[in-house]
Amino acid sequence: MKLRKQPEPECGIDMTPMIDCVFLLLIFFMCAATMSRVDLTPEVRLPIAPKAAVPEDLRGRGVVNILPVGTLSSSGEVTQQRPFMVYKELVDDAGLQKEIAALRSADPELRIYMRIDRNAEFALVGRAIKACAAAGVMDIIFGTFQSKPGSES
Amino acid sequence: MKLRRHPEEKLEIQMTPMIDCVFLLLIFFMVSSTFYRQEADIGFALPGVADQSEAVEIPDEQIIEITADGGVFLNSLQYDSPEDANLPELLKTLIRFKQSADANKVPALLTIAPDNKVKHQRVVDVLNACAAAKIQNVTFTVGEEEM
Repeated sequence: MKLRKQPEPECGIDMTPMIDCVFLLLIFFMCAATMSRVDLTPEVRLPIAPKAAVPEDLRGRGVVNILPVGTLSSSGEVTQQRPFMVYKELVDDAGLQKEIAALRSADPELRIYMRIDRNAEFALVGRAIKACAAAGVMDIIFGTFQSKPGSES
Repeated sequence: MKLRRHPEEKLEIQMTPMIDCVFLLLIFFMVSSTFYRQEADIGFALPGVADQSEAVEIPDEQIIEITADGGVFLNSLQYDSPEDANLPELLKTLIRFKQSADANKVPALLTIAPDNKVKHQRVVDVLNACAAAKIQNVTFTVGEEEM
């Protein structure tokens, strides 16, 4: 029997699925990048509370970070008289009250989300609560982690 | 003059520069993005009147005191050891308190009075026990000094 030689198939890599994947990844990382604009200071090590609830509605929140006295902040300043951090700037009690009052005038339904370091003393938290009360904000939320690092479910 | 007709050119979109750009963007966003651990909430509300100078006596209100060494006292009785983060005895009592308040159709009110030197993790331990007992009405007393 005579075998007919088949014509060689054209060798070409199909790029379309790869481009699809790359686009997907691009969109994902673009979305993830916008998250870092939220005022989440990495120096604050939140306390652990396994029964805390993960919120669905994150609107109308003003963030206050509270560092323990004597912590070196990202701006290179050691927290002493100004232990509260709002948008990367350290403020004192009066400054905090002013910031909260300004946020509240923009949004009357404002809730204050306090990211307090687990080693901060309650005296600092009390001062922040007083500033909230003086600025007229009654709704306060403490930020926590549900589990210790490395044991996330 | 005789014009020679050009042979028709094959129309094709060049994808290579676009893929180059997309790769560059991808790498940029991969490098610049930081991931955060998911955070959870423990909420409470301040009493209606701001800047209250003295505590108001409310019937059926329970007060939890936290001492500087981490001891937890509910109505002056100590519960659990200062090192225990889970506070099982306090949790049991809080669940009973919540059940009896629900049976009497009154809100379960809790006031937490931590010492100024208490670490925030200990306050959150107590709030965690309140959350586990499904007690929503939690508030704080704030010391008069240093304010």
